[in-house]
Amino acid sequence: MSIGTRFTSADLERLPAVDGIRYEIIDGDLFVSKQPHAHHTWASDGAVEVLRIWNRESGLGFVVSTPGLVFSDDNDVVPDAVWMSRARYAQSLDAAGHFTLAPELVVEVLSPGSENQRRDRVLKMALYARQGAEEYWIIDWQREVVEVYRRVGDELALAATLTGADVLTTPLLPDFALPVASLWVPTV
Amino acid sequence: MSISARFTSADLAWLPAMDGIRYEIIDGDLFVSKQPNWDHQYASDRVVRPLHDWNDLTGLGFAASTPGLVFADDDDVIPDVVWISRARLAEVRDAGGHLTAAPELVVEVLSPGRENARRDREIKLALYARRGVREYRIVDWQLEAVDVYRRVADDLALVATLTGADVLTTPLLPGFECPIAVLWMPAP
Repeated sequence: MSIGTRFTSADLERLPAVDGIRYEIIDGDLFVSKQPHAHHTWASDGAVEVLRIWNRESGLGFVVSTPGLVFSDDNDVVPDAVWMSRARYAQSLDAAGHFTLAPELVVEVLSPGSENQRRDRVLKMALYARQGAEEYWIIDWQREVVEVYRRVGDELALAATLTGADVLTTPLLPDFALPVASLWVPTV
Repeated sequence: MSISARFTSADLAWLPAMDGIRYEIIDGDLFVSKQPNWDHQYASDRVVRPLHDWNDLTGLGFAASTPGLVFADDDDVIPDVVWISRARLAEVRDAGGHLTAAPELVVEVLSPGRENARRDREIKLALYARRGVREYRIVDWQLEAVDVYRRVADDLALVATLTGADVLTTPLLPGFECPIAVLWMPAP
């Protein structure tokens, strides 16, 4: 452990691997989050499923659930899902199986609680913008809303807020179509 | 471990006890902070000493470093220093040696980093206001300043920012005086 008050990837080695516990470091601050709600996983799996089908047809890239994105020692995060082009994937994957470059697309599903929301909406937004992601989706299963942020210069800017019967499409993935209603657990 | 995405005191049982790692839960969010550095500990020790001296003279209360303050299962924190009156301590100390309600005075010494500052200046300020602390001091050894917040109705309001040769006094502790310059580590 370093003597400083900042956390680095080395500290993650010392923290216990516990089912459902996710450790992330953003700008040297440690964030610990917990087993997501079943509806969280449902939404994340839903997005991944459609991305996988699109990849299979297009052959253009890869989708990975909860990948380790290690941009640096003090920026080490685990988003819910990412999509990467073939070229970016090859360039980014390190020997330990982590990704060292920003994927083109990052997907986060919001967890309840003000700190969880702030992590995705403020801290990770800034991190993914800075690291070069092209698109960032924030999925809010509680409100049944998907926000799509796209790169404009150095920023990720809100490009669409999708609800109800809206269908998510993106210039990043030609002909990709995700009806956002498919992300919400149907009434049993 | 509960299934929900929120943390409670029960989670602190499985988190590993590691030298210099402090776990705190505020509103169900887990905050992990690291070994403070020399200047932090110097300031913190200097804060507690005149409180002990004042207690020895008056017999009116007690000061403690890094006590467990367990307001509730999801509000479980460890401030740097507290002062509590004799009468109140008898009322609020539990069998585990934790305080189950607010001490009159809480002091936090800031650690470097955005999230550390935010935790003390925003999240803990709101927590201590909500839980009935009468006075909250934030000691910033980097800026050599002390912010003093006092209770005004339901809030803790900033009443003074002390710097330079300022002397800290408080209606809470009659006759107490602390020149804040003694808190800063002199050049070795």
